[in-house]
Amino acid sequence: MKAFRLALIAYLLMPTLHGQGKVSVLFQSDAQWYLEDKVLDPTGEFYPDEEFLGQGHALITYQSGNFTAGLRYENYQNVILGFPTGYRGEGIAYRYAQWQQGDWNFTVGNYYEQFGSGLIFRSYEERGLGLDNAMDGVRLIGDLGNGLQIKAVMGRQRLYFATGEGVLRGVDLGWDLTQPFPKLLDKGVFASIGASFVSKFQRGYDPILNLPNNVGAWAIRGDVSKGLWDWSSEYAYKINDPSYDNGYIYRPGQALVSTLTFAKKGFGLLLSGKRIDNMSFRSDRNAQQFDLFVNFLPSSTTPHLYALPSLYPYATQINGEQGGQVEVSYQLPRGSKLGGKYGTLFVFNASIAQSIDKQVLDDGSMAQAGSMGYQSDWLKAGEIPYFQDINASWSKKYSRSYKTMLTFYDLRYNKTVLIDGVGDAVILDSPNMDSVIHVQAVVWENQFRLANKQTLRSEIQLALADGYRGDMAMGLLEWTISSNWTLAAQDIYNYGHPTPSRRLHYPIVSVIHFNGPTRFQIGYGRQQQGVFCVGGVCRVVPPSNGLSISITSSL
Amino acid sequence: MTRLACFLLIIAGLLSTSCDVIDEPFKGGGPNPIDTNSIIQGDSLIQTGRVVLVEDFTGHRCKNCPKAGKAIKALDSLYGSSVVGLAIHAGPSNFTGVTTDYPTDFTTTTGEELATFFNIFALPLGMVQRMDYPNSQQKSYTAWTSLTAGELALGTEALFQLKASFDSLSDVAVLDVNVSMSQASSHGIALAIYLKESGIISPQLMPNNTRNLTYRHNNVYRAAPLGTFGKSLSATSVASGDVFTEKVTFTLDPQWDASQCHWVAILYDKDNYKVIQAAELAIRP
Repeated sequence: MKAFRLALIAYLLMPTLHGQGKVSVLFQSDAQWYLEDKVLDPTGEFYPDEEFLGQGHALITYQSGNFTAGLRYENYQNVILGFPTGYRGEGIAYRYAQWQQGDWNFTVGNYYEQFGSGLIFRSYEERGLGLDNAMDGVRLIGDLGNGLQIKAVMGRQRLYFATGEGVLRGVDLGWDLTQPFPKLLDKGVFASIGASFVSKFQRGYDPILNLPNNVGAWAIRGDVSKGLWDWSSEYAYKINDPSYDNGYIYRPGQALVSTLTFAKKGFGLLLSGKRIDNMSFRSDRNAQQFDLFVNFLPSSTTPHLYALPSLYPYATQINGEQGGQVEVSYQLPRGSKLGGKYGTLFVFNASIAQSIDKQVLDDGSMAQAGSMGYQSDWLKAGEIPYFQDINASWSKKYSRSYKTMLTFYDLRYNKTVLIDGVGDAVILDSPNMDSVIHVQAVVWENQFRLANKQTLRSEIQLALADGYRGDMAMGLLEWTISSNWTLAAQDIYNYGHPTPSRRLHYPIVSVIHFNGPTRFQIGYGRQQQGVFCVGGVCRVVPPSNGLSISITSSL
Repeated sequence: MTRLACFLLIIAGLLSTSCDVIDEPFKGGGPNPIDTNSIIQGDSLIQTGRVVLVEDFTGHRCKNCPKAGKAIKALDSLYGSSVVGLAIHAGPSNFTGVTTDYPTDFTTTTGEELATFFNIFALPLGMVQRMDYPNSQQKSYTAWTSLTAGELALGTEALFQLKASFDSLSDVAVLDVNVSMSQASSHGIALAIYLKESGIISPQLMPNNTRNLTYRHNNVYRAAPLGTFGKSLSATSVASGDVFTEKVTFTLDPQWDASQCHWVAILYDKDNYKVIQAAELAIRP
């Protein structure tokens, strides 16, 4: 293996020395020096033995004509708190070669791929979460003519520095209908349809249950747009897939997502809805956390970027949820009486997610291993509220040197489901056991343009909650001194925490410096315990205090 | 067009061969008992295979807890002495507290310590071998069967030999523990000893919100003679073939029925609290 890696590196570099091809490098390194904080972590539960933890990676890519190859070296000495501890050590975790031959594109080694919206297959990386389910195998993408494209994949998924036990096989067909039917274009219609199929193989060993060795899933999708409107939908179905996630039930899985958008100058509308029923799909039925996800179930709620609202993120409930979202944005025109010289933007967003209907089986059982799990009616709503978010923002630029934005939030957050991870069956058995937190928050952001191309940005945030974390306030000041230097300072004060000893300040100061393509960031302060989510996938962030360093660069 | 036909043929092949729809989830049409992994000879127990600990955190005012109790019973009928059940009355006090309707105090200080340490935030919740600590050790009773099956499919890491004696005049129970390692481990190990009692008749809130006055409470956690987390046997690592012995003496509460009491011994990994082996033996042979 070592010889193979050396040969590959030599092969990558050799043509460059002769002036052929192009090599590019992306580099990132993050480190954290932890300080013991008896107030934040009284028992030292989260304080790492190493005291200093660091991780990073470098992606080296070589391209020459139709040929591309690359590798990514990763190191974890040891992995930073909150990331999956399976990342340990160092090595080349990702390597591939890819080339185009006529209408065909070939990839061997590692690759990322997605079928449709990912309901049955999405291989991707999200570094902020520590999620990487890259495929290791072969991929073929072909243009069959007449707007028809085929993708075929085969391989295993990455599991830290190894691969998972299950083998994935999949194929996807996408058809751009405007090519065989050009009259659609004449009428201003763009339309495409697609279908995909994925199967995983994992041998089943169980003294009691007959586990399926091969689990198949299929999906169909369509997208049509005309004028200012666009509508896309996808439906997926998965056969019996007893797993750790679903408690080893044999109920088939289903998912439906649909989104309608309308956009014209100054006005935008988005309507989306989804229903997921038992759609956890991993290439190892016993895998947990982020390990070996085959599919991706998108969140129908909006992720918030401001610090206090983002402490209440929504994680997609892979065993079942239904919900929807509506967003309306309207810009008062420039020069109008209300819009002012630069215009004023209003955005209203509301989303909801709750359980699907779940009823006991005919034998009176629910969610028992080896059974069909439960009965569910598509037309009935579930009883458990997971999440509700209503927010509205107003942003206005008053002059060339000042703009402001004000956002209000009203959140209902089911802590029992989203933080404690309690399943529907337990809550349905004890209907009042779950704790739904009501959070009302406001964020006021101001941005000032100063002399000498300097800017000053401030945030004032307030979040009032009737439990869990309690009330919090935050202030932030960010001063961009030049295009190379930025200073920032912030403090979150959890003044209303239900436990008096947890009414703490969480101050952080940071410095960011750019030097060409290289970016340095150094921060010092307290990080409170929380949940960090990307696209509805979340990880728990432990509390910490210390110095963090981040360097990114490229060549 | 030929290319498309070829690929459609491949897809059809994939579709037809890559889906195993299971009509009968249970092997042999239903759960079957498997061979026992413990042999009892008089006052002694000799183990021959892996035995799994299932802890059920429960409360007499928790209406769904009888369902978890049933799950333990089902495991017992399924796996016999290959499973050791322990019902720990601990956790949220609105489920475990004493009232005039529910007069028996089943709670213990050490039981509460276990519930706190393992973050038992709701009832009923349980643990199978205390696996997945510290992030997801709490397991719903609906998952116990499959998790137990998975654990029993693993190789044996250690075997217990237990010998019990009991002085009925003084209510003093003695347990001689001998545990031999079948596999080496780079982690330290510890031994914990618990006492449990079955057959206690006392009121229990039932799933239909009625109060069952003659509910039979089984496997009730009573005491931890070596302390909540027991005693360390090896601080760092153990080798295959290592043998550890321990003698435990405990005076029973006179209110307890000695004929319904059992010793529970567990050997666990000190780094992650995962139980390596469990055993159970009657106090009064």
